[in-house]
Amino acid sequence: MEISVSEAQGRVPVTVFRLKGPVTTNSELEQQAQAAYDAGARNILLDLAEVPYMATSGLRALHFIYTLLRSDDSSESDAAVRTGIAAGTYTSPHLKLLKPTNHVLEALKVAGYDMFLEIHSDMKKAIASF
Amino acid sequence: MSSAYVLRLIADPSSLETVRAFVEQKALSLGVTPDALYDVLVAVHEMVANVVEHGYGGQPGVIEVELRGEGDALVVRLIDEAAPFDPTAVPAPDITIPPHKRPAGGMGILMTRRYVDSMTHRVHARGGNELVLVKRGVVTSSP
Repeated sequence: MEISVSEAQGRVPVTVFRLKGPVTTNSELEQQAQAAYDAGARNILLDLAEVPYMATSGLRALHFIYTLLRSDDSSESDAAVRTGIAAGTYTSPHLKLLKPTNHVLEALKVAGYDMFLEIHSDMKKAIASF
Repeated sequence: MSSAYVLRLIADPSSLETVRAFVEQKALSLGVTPDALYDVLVAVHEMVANVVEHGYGGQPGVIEVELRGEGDALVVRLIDEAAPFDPTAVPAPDITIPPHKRPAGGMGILMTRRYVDSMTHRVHARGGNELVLVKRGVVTSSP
């Protein structure tokens, strides 16, 4: 898998990770996300358009990034997240996904990750949504 | 009775690519449809990754992968020499728990169940585990 990182500006700065190739390990993606976070990134958009396959180790990396970016804001408190997921009104404000392929989308659904990660099909709208 | 293909190797994280390539090549030669191949690859990848990561805990260990056709079904047998572990006895994770409260792992078994029709486990006669994955209705021709 290749990862290219770029910066975009919406209402807030957004770091875009463009992934290319199957995601079969978690360590590389987690390390890149941690490095971006350490450098100040607080909003990440993962472009999955060129990921034909994501193993559960890749899902684990998404979980890691979600947790990394979760803030102390009251809108992300335990209670708010629990209530919001049950009501279908909560998604992470800091980690979003762009254009997952059908196979990857299916894996996200099986794992229930589509319940807390917004999935976008348009880059501009995705950046603007942060 | 169709042919069986067997790959025996020392398992480590780099083995996953070798196993995937083997399964892809041999499943296609057994007549598995390309659509079904993806499902089989996901299931085998997850279960071999489990053995590598949890069964052997990162230490080198033998794993054997056998593929054969039975009628229209593809049967994959995975044999290891790790401590007995029955993935079929693991309850499905609760995916309604808030994500930060969930364990990050445990998804491999869920995914495998989703992509194959049956998954059976037994402790192998010589020790270790034997896991059989069956995907039905996917073999369209004899080799």
